[in-house]
Parts: sequence; C-alpha cells; structure tokens
Amino acid sequence: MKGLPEDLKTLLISPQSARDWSAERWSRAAYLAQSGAVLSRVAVDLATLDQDAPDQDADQAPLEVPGLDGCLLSAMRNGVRSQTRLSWEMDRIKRVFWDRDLKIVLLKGAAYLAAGIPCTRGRLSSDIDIMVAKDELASVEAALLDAGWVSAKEMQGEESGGYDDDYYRRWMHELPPLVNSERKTVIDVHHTILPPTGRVTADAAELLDQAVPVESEAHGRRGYFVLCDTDMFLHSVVHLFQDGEIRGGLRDLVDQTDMIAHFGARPDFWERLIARAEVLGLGRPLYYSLRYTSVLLDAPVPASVLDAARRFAPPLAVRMMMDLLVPRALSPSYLFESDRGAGLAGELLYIRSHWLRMPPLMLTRHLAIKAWRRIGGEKTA
Amino acid sequence: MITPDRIISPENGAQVTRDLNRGRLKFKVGPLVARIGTSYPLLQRDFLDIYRGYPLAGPEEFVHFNLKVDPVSLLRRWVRPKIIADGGFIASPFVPLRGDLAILALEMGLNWQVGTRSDQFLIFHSGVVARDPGPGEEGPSRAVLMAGESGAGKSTLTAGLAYSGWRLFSDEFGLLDTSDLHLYPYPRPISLKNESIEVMTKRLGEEVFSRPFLNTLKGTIRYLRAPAESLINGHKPARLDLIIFPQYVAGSTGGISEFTGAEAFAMLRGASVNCDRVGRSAFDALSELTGRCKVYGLQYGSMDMAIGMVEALMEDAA
Repeated sequence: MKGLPEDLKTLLISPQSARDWSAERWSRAAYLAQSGAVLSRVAVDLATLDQDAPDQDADQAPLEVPGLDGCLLSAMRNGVRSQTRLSWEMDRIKRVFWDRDLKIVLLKGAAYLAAGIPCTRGRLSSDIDIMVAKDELASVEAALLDAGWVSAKEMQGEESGGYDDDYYRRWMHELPPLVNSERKTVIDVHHTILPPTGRVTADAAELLDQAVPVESEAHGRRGYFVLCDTDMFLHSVVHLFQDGEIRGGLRDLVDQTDMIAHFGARPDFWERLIARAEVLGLGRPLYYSLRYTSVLLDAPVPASVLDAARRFAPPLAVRMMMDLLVPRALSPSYLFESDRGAGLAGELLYIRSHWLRMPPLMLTRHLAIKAWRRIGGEKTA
Repeated sequence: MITPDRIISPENGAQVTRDLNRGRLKFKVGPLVARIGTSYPLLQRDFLDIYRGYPLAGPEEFVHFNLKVDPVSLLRRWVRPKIIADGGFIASPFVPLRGDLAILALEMGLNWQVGTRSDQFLIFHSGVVARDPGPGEEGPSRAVLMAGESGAGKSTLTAGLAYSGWRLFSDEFGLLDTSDLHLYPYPRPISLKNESIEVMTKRLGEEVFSRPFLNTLKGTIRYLRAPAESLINGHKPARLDLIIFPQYVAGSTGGISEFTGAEAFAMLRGASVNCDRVGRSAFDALSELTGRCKVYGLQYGSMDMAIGMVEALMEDAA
C-alpha cells in the first residue's frame, strides 16, 4: 500500500528526526503539513522537544534553517488561538443553558479539549459540535437563536428555509449550522452521529446513555458530557470513514492515532471497542480506522485486535480498492508536483460518501438538484 | 554583497523566465521567501518588469509561500483568457481575473498568504518607511508606521517618502516582531490607483512605473517599483518610533492631533490584521507601543507638506 509522504509521516510521529533536514526538504514538508492542517501540531511538538531537552546533544541540535522558526511560531500561535477560542465558545454556550437540566454532549474538538485527549495540542478547530437528545433539538435551537446565534444561511445574506434547510432537518443528523453573530463562530447541534438515511446508523439513545460527565477541573467544564472512550473513538471513525469524504481527512486519522495511544492503555479498552462497534453496527468503519492508522501512522494497535477486526472487513475487491484510494486521498501533495491520482481518488471517495449516506433514489435526486444549481451558479450545502 | 546574478534583472531575464515556467523561481521579500510558478508569457513579462531588483533566494533558504498563477483552463489560455492564483488550498479564496490583469492575481495571492499566515509578526495594515543612520552616524534604523482606512492616502504618502530619502518597508503590511518591537521590511511594488498615478508620475517620472492596468475593480492601477536600495537592504529591521494616521484633505493647510492612551491603543488595534491570532503577545506589544511611541492623526493638502510634517515629527520623536 502507498504510504503518506515520508517526510510528513516523520513530522507527525518522530519530529526530532527532522532537525538536520535541509531548507528545501523543510519547505516541502512544512507545505504538506500545512495542507494537511497539522502544521500547528508539529510546531507544538517541536517546541515541546526543545523545552524537555534544554541542553543539546547531536540529535537535539536546534533547527538551523533560516526563516523556519518564524513559520513554526506562526503555526503554533494559530494552534493556541484555536484552542483558546474553542474553550471560550464552550464557556459561552454553557451560559445559554445555565438554568436548564440538559445533557449536552461535546463532540470532536471540544470533547478532546474537555477530556484532555493529547490530539488537542495544536489542533485547529473551526466549528464547535454538540449533541443533545432528539426531543430537545427544537428548544436548544430556540435558546441559541434567542441568545445571539443566527442561521448560517442568513448570515451569508441568503434566506433560510428552502432545499438545503429542509434537507438538513429531514435527513441529517444535525441542525443546519448556526453562527454567533458577534464572534462568527459556528455551532453544529447534533442529535446522533450518523444520518438516519444511511446504510449504517447508530442508536442515539445508547450513545447519550453511556456519555460521561467531564470531570477535569482543569478545564472548568463541570456540567458538560463527552461520549465514553469507545464511542468518542467510534465517532471520529464514522466521521472519517462512513459519513465524510475521506479527502482532506488526515487530521481525523491523526486524532484516531492519538486516541489509540491514549485509550489503548486502559483495561479492556480493545475488547470493549470491538464489542461496542458490533452493538452499534460500526464494525466496517472501525476496521478501516484500525487498518489505516496502523499502516499509515504506525498507531499501536495490538496484532490481536487487528485480527479480531478482520471479521468486519469488506470483500477483497472493495478492500483492494480502498487500499488504493484511501492513502492517496489522505495525502496532501506539493503544489509544484502534479499528482493526478490524488484528485481521482478524492472524487471516487466523495461519491462513495454519498452512496453510504442515502438510498440510491434519494441520492440521484440530491445530486441532480446540486448539479442543477451548480449550473445555475448557486451555492449548495 | 549582492551580485547582479543574485537579483532579478534584465540580464538574467531568460533564466528567471525558465524558473517561472518550471515553478522554481524563489525570491525574497524582506524576511520572507516566496516560490512562484507561471507559464503565462504576459505575466512573466510583467513580473520581470515589476520585480526588477528583488534578491533571488538560494536553496539554503526556507520557502514561506508557494503560489502558481496560470490560466483556469487550456481554452481560457487562448480565448478571452482567465487567470487564477493557486496556493493549493482546499477552499481557495482566489477568483479568476482577466488575462491582462494576471499580475494582480499574483499580487493578491501573495498578499493574502502573507496576511493570513505570518503570525510570527503582529501585522498592521499600513505603509512603513524608515530612516537609516547616515555614514558615520550611530544608532538604529528608525521606522514610521502609517495606518488608516483604505483610500486615506497611505500608499501615496508611502511612495512619496520612499522616493525622498526614506527606505521603503511596505505600502501594505507593517510586520512587527512582538519580542523587540522592531518592524521588518516587506517591500512590495506600490500599487497606485487613479488620481494618485498622475500625481506620482509627474513627481517621479514614467520610468519607475509599470504599464497601466486598466478597468480593474479599483479602476486604473500602476505599480511603482520599490527603490533598489530598499530591496538590497530588505533584511534589515528598524525600531518603530512613530505612528501616524494620515488623511489627505484637498486644500488643507496641515493639521496634527495627538492620540494618547486608550484611544491610541484602540486605533492601533483597529489597524492590526492578526491581533487575535497572535494573542497575548500582541496585546502586550500594543500596550508597550502606545506607551512608548507618539501616535498622531495628520491632515495634509500636498505631498511636500506631508513629507515635511513626517520629518518634523520624526525629529521630535528622537
């Protein structure tokens, strides 16, 4: 199987080995990391290495490429700012519901931050994602609208309602995005983690039931919940391999690699994970995650677990196709090196993501409407 | 010392064109290095003309920005040409422009990347020029930062100062190192629009200008080349000593008002592009700056009047 670009992989899993790289090599590698939205993380890791080993020996020599330190400082500031903003947004949202007995489950970046998962370092989050019970959706939306959030469509000067709005409300697992009118931050309110129309769906009540309160006082978020460890991992997995289009998803694969290292040490984590994937019907995407995190990013997945997950594997032909497409779609390419394979792989996986998301007739209708509007020059969801 | 083969010049035009074709042209703008590629001959010619005198970057230098500027399709290369900048972003912020305006696509592409991805600096939307110590003089180079609304006349005033003995830092972005409050040069071709073009060509002559670019979104544009000396000294920072908010008012006999304390802070904060991304260091730098530098509003009615006022204020700030 084709791997990630070698230098990008090095930056992600052993950045200390990049210290003696030439300027040319760094220029290309930093571009790839930036394209994959992981440069801030790399910058944080390099700075941490410097802090941990203040006296230098040969492989701890400071970076000697002029101009690189500025690039890394910029990336690090961005990462810090993104986390600060997320933390502030969590605080503001909390205020909206301060007097309500409501179970709000943080998802994705906000959850990693609240639960102290290592992948939160230098992680660029643009949106905040929360999940509530389906019968709370309307009241949560009303409360947010009342407190200064507006529909993202309206923010762009378009009317809300219409096909996109209707599409979200009828077929998706989340409300149409809301934007805070002062801070321009986006919130996605989910009621489950997969569209109810898809080939695979997950039982939302089951997820909510197992969610755990955030205990870390360090983040001062008592009152929020996060999905339990197995579900948090599976949510990232379905987001990348079931619901999303994979293209541009390197950051998600990195998240999963970090969670594997973080959760993998807990007692029974792997047994619980496999069992939970079975119960929720998420075996197939779990198989993909374990396969690609271990092959592409050397994630420490025990051999016995890889064996156990093999029962979720697709037929050989699909497996070969995915092995061909996934690494290409996840790998950023350098602007000055043409990479036609990546474009095609991305397109094919984009079509796959829609195929998994809705039944064939509905898909045909949806793509027809989007294509019609693209011809007409209109924006689509 | 920079030798002629290390700068972009008519003599090595053929080599520069080949490098542009291969996407291997690397040149320096102050502390930043850009790598550019284009296969479009008209853009190659405009680039050579406008970027004459820029230092080329060698293989030992890190590339901060990568940009390709090419026709949107094979058809649009020949028929009603359309050109677009491409930095390799998933959601590209760039729009296609008419073929004859390709250099504008390049300028916007570079400025956008610098403005959004150089958070090692606190960036001000401003013109900057500096005074270097004369021969035999001691002391640091001293910079004046000119901020204010688009259209207030900062580009024109920057251009005037840059050709009156000041070293051009930028007519677009002031790059402040928050650790020592020094500004770094970002010497780019100065884009002059509409009436400013006439004023400045009369003053400086035709030969320092690019050809006119007609019917752009902002009317007619001509680029004023950065003075050669400001490019060769493009790596030397200067201490920020003076901040002004210039305003051209036809017929004005000149006026100065000082901003202090919170007002100065708020105005400077408003002029910064990336204050929120830089975070705490930006806040600290702004506090220290507004405590240390004088901040003035400056009304002027002619270029010579403005230059005289800036020189007097700088004298006073010493």
